[in-house]
Amino acid sequence: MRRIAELFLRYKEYATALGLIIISLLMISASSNSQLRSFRTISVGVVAGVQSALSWLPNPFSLQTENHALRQLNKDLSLQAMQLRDAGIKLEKLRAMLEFKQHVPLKLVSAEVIGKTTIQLRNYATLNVGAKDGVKEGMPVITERGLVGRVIGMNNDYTVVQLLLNRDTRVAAKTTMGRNDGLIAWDGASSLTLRNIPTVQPQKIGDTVVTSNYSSLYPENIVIGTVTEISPEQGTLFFKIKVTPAVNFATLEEAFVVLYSPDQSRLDLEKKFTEPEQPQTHRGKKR
Amino acid sequence: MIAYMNLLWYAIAALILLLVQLNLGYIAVENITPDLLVILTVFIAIREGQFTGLVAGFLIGLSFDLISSDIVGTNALSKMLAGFIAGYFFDEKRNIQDSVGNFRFLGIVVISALVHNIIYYFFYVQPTDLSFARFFLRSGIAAALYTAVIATLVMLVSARKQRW
Repeated sequence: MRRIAELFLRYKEYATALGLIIISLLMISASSNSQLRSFRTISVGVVAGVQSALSWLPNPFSLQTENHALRQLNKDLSLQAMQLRDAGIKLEKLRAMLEFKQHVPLKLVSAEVIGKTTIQLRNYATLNVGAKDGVKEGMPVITERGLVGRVIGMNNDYTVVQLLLNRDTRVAAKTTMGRNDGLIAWDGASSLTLRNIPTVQPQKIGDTVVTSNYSSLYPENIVIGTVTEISPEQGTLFFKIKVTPAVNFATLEEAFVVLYSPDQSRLDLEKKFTEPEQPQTHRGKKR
Repeated sequence: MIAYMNLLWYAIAALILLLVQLNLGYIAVENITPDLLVILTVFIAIREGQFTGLVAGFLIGLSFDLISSDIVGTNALSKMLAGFIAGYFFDEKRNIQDSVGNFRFLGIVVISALVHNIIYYFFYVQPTDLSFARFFLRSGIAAALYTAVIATLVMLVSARKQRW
């Protein structure tokens, strides 16, 4: 016994280490013991109280992480807000277009503007609808705000529209209050010019200009714009009326193609009387 | 034999460091924290010998197991072995300045912390998906070095005491 005690004292470090290793392993294996767990619940509760009391201390490292996370969140939310704002604007536009489509007595085909020019002398827009959607050459293109232009070419899938902002565009138009018919054309700047309105007929700034029933290309009463300036045209008896287009061509994203074709018999009749007579030298006439 | 006064100081230091260790999130870098309790265990082992060191490591580790959410016995085992390893460097002829106030102390802390972390891995981290290599680099070496950085303060205080 004495020898064992001496042996233990001689190697007490190893013996103790071995004993403590065994105790540790036993504790690890018995860590799910319910008594031990309840004791730990109390001790962890006490420590949590102390930790909570110390929680006012600032932590620069966690603040840095938190700042980084908040900055990232801010960036994400800003992006999301921007997308929502964009979606809101688009939704409003689409709602207005839907309402317009439901109330207008014309057959319309919705289209998305997939390309356009607005800074040249001859401006065009390309729509994502074509002949397969029933689009034909000469059909008017409008938005819920007013006239956009006229179809000048298409294939099965796409349509090219000559915009109002085109030097070749001419539209028979009238003022809604003055009821005077004239011819509207683009002045090359931001506005349109309505000509051939006699100066004897009083005109009013703010009056709405719409397509005339004299037009053989457009259905009548499609809004074109608003009168913004009236001045007598030098050397004539007509007014030169500046009209601001109702459609904002810079932000044009959606449009409708009006499935409207001019009355062919009317066109033929007008052609018969307005075209110059054939020259007498024609072989057929000689006979 | 360990002096009662020293025992009292160690107990107070252990109590304070246990609470501090639980709140070390304040100085965590990439979720790595220094192990102040290993520094204390090494200090006791170097100052008081291997036997005292391993018993102190066991008690300190067990206390930490009880107040933390770790599995009971893991810290007791790993800190006890850290104290056991550190105890090999005990030299009763050295005073506190010679044993703690130089880079030798930091070396012992790094070795003990590494042993501690490896033992801790096998009994606590291994059941998880964390690989040994990843754990060893991150929580083994990095944590041991961070522990050594904090131990530098103990070393510097002891070295300054030497000059006085």
